[in-house]
Amino acid sequence: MPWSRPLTRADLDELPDDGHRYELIDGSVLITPVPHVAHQAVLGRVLAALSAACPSELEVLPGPFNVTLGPATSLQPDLVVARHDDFTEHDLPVAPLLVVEALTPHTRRLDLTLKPSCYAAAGTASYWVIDPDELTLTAWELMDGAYVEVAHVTGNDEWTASLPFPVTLTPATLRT
Amino acid sequence: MDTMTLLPQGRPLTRDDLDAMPDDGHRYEIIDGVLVVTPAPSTGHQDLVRQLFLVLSAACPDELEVYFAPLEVMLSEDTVIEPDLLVARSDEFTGRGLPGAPLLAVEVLSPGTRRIDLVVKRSRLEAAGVPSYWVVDPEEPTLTVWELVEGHYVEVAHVACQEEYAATSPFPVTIVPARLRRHRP
Amino acid sequence: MMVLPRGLPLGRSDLDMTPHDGHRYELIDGSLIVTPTPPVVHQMVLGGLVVQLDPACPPELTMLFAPFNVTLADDTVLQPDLLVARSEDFTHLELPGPPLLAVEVLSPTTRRFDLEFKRSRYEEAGTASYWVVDPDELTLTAWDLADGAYVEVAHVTGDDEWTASLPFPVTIAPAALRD
Repeated sequence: MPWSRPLTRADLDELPDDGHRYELIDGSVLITPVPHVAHQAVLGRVLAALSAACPSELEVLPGPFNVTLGPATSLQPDLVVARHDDFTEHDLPVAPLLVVEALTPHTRRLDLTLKPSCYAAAGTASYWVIDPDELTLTAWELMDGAYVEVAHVTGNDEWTASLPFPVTLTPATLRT
Repeated sequence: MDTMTLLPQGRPLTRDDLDAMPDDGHRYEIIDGVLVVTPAPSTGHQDLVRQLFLVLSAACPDELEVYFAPLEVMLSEDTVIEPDLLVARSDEFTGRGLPGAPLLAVEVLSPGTRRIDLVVKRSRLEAAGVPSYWVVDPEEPTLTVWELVEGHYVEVAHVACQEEYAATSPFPVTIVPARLRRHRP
Repeated sequence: MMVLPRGLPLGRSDLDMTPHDGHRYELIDGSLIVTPTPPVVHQMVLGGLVVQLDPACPPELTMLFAPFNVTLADDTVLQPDLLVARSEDFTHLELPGPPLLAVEVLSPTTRRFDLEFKRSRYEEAGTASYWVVDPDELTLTAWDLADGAYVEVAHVTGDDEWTASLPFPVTIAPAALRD
């Protein structure tokens, strides 16, 4: 294991927006601070809402666990929905039906660009990003191999997703 | 741009993963696939280890060997520890370390390792069938001895300062905790 | 992996930036403990716990699941699978002190660490309640602090239900944790 200095926030800011950041996931790691209260609290609420509406053949799981998209690509999404039967004991070796990421300042750019591109390439039908501070939810769905934004919900607006199953979310209720 | 290699994904750590750990003065061990990194010990700690090593070596029969850390003891694929001192049959060691349970493992406590040594390691050594486990607490100092009886550790001695402990396992040797610490002005 | 200071005890600041690689990085009494990504059943049961606890959690308390830093001392930063604490006790980044409840869901790898080692550390820090859930056997064991030491207050199996009073009234049925 090469022993080099930790990446810093400044390094992240200097990364070019040219797609080569894909290498950061192919066998390399990002160093990020542990998520903060709002991040985890919001995920808890989304988990509860998804679980309540989740049909029996599907499973909603909190991270971290491995979603193995390729021999050198292993991601740990914040929340995942997938077919119960698709999970192995240790990972999910196929694309999930839904990936949910809650943003942090350090992973924002990744969550909004690089990660969705990985998930889209693997055939993940839906991808949601939640901003735990602004309390917004943005949802993309896969169409012809690329993500198309299907919702951008803020505050007290309600949104009813159809994929991966019908569920209604209101961003303002994701935090007390 | 600097990048770092991931720890292995989706599985407990194994002995091979220890190979990649840095040489930075910390002790790297794996217990049940969990990586445990403890800071380098203090001089006082090493004094105690050295004195105990000398006492054990002097009494050690030919067919057995005493080593001090760092030497890898591989209790299983997912458990590799580096006890402060160990005793095992000479012919059981490979070039790399000891591939199995020693006859005796000894830990000298540090403030940061007390809980690990007294709780996790004792439990793991017991599960591995290590016949004797000694813990030296530098305070006073004291020596506590556990021996395996029907698969569980039983405390057979707890001696402090000038008290003597006449061990019979793994071989006859007398330990006086106070004599493990050289007097310093 | 992080760069660790050579030959020095490990402290909180060494955990400030941890790899986002699915492993759990904790500091206990100055030693770094790195736990592999948990098995899927661990996360299923953790999810089940969140679903059972979330609706019962009163507004003045906050329940979070891992990863989230609980800083018990300069040399001890833990990431329990689930924690409950007073909402006002959190900073933006961490919980600087013991939670009201820490929960660990066992995995084969962490069993030994969760059952005694971590319990001992949480007990020492004054964590009022500590629960351990076995996701394979579907059991829950709960301890409450009494005069500074943990006393087992429940060991629930299968379809049995248990109604906790701490940290808030909630009924848990282990068998339902994997629904």
